[in-house]
Amino acid sequence: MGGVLRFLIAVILGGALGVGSALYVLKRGDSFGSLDVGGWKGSMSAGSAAADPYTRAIVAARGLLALASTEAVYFTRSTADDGQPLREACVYRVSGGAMPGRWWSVTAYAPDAYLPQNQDEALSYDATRAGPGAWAVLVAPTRPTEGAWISSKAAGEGFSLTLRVYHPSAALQADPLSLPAPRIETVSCTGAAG
Amino acid sequence: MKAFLGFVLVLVLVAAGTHVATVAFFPTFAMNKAMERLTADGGRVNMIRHGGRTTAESRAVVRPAPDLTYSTCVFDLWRAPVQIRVSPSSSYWSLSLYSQSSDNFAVFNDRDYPEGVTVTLVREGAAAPANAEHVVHSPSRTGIALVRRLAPDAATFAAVDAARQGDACASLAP
Repeated sequence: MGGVLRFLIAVILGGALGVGSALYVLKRGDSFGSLDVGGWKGSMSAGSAAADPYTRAIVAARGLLALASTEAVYFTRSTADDGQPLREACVYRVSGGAMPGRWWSVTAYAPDAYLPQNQDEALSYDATRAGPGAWAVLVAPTRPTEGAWISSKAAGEGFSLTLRVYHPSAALQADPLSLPAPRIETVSCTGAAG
Repeated sequence: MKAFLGFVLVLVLVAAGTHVATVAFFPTFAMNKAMERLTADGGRVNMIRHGGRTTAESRAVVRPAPDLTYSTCVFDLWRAPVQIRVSPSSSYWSLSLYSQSSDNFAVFNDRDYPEGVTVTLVREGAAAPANAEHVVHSPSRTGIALVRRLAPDAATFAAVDAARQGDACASLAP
């Protein structure tokens, strides 16, 4: 009887451990792909049947219905250039140059992978507003006095920014590490943690 | 000691097995949940649904893009092939097809089809209807067809919304 009970306990504990460890890997904040371009993480096999099981599951958990890389590539960043996690209490300056694709955008997401729950109507910044060449946008919880703005109000601790490049150039598809990765500078922070 | 080693062995084997199974089946689980949410207005499949402007309240699928507007069709090829029509609009659009296990198995876009496109979706191994245009074989019986259209502002959204009224998704069952 003791042996049967031990077996059942081992099965229950093992099952919980297996499911829990898998969900942890799929949903943890920095699991956006094996590519790392200046802190922006992504995968060129998102949406592809050829992707490995972990990539497919991570994409399903954090970016379901992603497009194959011939149509769009996705890079996500959850830390600033100083290595600190992105926080609602901070103001960041995101800047870059021309992106190697037909259209691009940068969007803020709360840790639950949905848009921050605010009514600021400033959840993203895209190529139609940036125009060609160099661009910069402030990510902040309140509207800056001037310049482009992505609202991080209600984005919480550990939010992320996703860069989408639609119809990426052949060069970017061939070498994703050639992406001119946008910078994320911390301008200021309020609260105890820096 | 032997009993303890047996306990650990069973625990490790079950943990490894359920870990691998969870990773393997998570995409199908996530797609099933998404299909449930997308048909929550009555459960009908093979029907186009146009979303409004993407806002903070858009929670049908993770990581929606506020600059894009989405139309969806949860397809079911059990009875017959499904035909999907996407009308052209002045900005970027694409029709992407996803299997039940989340793979993006086909994409059509405005660059390749500036006049719009009509796609006939057929179950893998099944014959396509005569004279069908742009036949695509789906690796699964059910899945999601997703139309993305670039609409970063209210004026573009209004134009795109008018254009997409010509979209359709319907079963070819008699």
